[in-house]
Amino acid sequence: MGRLAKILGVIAVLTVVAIVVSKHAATPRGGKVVAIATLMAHPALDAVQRNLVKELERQGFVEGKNVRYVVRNANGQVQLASNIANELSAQGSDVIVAITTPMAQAVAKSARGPVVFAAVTDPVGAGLISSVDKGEVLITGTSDAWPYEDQLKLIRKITPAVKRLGVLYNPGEAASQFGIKEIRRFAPSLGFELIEGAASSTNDVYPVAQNLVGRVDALFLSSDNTVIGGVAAAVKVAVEHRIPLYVGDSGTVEKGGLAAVSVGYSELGTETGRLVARMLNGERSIPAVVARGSEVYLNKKAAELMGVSIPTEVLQSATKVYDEIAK
Amino acid sequence: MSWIVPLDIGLLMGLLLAWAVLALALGFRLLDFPDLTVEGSFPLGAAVFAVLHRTGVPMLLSIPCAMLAGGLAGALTGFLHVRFRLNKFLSGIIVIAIAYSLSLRIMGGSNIGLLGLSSVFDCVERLEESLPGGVHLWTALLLVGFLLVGSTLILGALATRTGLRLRVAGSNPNYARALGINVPANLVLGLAATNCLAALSGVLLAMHQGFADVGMGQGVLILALAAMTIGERLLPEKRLPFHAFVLVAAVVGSVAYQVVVAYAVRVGLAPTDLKLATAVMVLAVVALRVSRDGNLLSEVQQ
Repeated sequence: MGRLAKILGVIAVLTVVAIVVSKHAATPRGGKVVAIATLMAHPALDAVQRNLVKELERQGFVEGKNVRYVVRNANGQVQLASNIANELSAQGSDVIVAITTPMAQAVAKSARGPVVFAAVTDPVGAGLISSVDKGEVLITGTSDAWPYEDQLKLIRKITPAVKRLGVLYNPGEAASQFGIKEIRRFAPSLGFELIEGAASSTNDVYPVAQNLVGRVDALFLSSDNTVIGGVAAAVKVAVEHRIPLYVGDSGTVEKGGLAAVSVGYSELGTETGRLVARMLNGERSIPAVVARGSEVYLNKKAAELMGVSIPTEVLQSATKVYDEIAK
Repeated sequence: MSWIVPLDIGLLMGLLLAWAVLALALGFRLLDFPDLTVEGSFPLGAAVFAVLHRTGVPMLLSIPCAMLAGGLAGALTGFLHVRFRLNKFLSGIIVIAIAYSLSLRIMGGSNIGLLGLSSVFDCVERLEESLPGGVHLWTALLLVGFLLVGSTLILGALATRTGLRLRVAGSNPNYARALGINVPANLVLGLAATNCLAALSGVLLAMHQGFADVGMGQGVLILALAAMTIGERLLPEKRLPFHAFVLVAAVVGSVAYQVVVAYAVRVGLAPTDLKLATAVMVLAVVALRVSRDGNLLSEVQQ
């Protein structure tokens, strides 16, 4: 029975640790608890979280004073989503913020209180809500559907001669599944012939981009974490073969993408913060918010290396122009 | 009462994933086949179930269909190994890749939401609404019930002639051949059966968490391997018949592993440390018995 004793010992130690930790993190008197669950750490998602906290502070919910945050991250493991969702639901938080699609679904399933999702590209398709216009009881959030039509129009404006457009995306991500459908919808009317390249891991970005060379006049990266993670490889291919590389968010433009019309993830965070504040103030049925990004980001150095001259009117309309490619 | 939460969640997740651990353990120990397919049949089962369930196929039909899909994946792994003499690991890896693309095709996307659709947990979840702190007592009991029924069926099947042939083919192929047993056919059959269980695990998790996602298989293999190792280290193997020991060890290991994960999540470890913490825990449990059993490597090679 020595082994049993050891096991019981381990469980006892864990229990003590858990009790100490839960005591240590006690809620301030009369304060609110906001739980934040995210699937992974990622610059855009971190920006959402940061600005959410900032916005709540503006609305009078100050960390350590009258609000406490409980943050959990699944480290990219989808099966952990349910574990985290159950854990946060059991904590008795006032609002649970769920970032990314699988996390939002898991939290919506287990939560008994208000849920605010963020950065879910297609909340209706994910089954979270039945429509974006109507408010639903206890659940609302922000969607980061990319403005694909505007992005394709920008490509047309900067490089009018482009006919064959190579799109890199990961078929395994909900965001890019939605994205590729949108791109297919708008491309023909703007005169693009699509050539799709599927990269299912960051390591595939280089060979897939290389494979598209010679068959395309420009490259476009869709909104997925995999492809964005491998952006350096795509930039390398684009510069080597002097092909314009278009992307979809400001961070990727800084890293060498030629241009993007972007959803501001900071604004998405702020918008989410507003929804959380309304839930904390007792509202129960709030319509979801779809972010419609319209800011233009450009990279002059990338344009020069890819053999593109950006028209002055586009340069003037840009929110931000980067002069260098960030390492 | 907050200290009970990680135990509750660990128990729940462990019981949900126990079927996947069972699939791996039975393949490993009874068929002597390190079956990587589990990582593919798990999301494939969830995908098939989600699609059928969403289109309104009754649950009693869509669950067996999902299990069958997983079983076919397992049979394919066995077939690739015996027909083309492909390495055991490589056949598994190939089938994982096939299952990934197939799941995407079947779902027509990477994720299907099942929120608001019926599930086997509906009635127990309603009972739990009155329990304090959101404890999943009834769900856990239901899952234990499933596992008891499942284990009885598996043990019963292993005691039939077919089951005996399967065990002989797995434990001593030369002897089996001498008895006139078709070893390759039994291997294919065995892998089909174990992967049905992995698919069932995927279905149960999808129902519980409210969605099927093509990425949900990622890491299941490692988790199952760790859980199997822990279970086998925790239990006294001499007291039970070998195949019963494998069964019980898989379930106990699965729960123990998930309790550890739930504690790590509870403590709020930084994401960078979470995997390290679970790795250390696995090592700690293994170390509890390494001194007694001697070399760990010799055990793996057996």
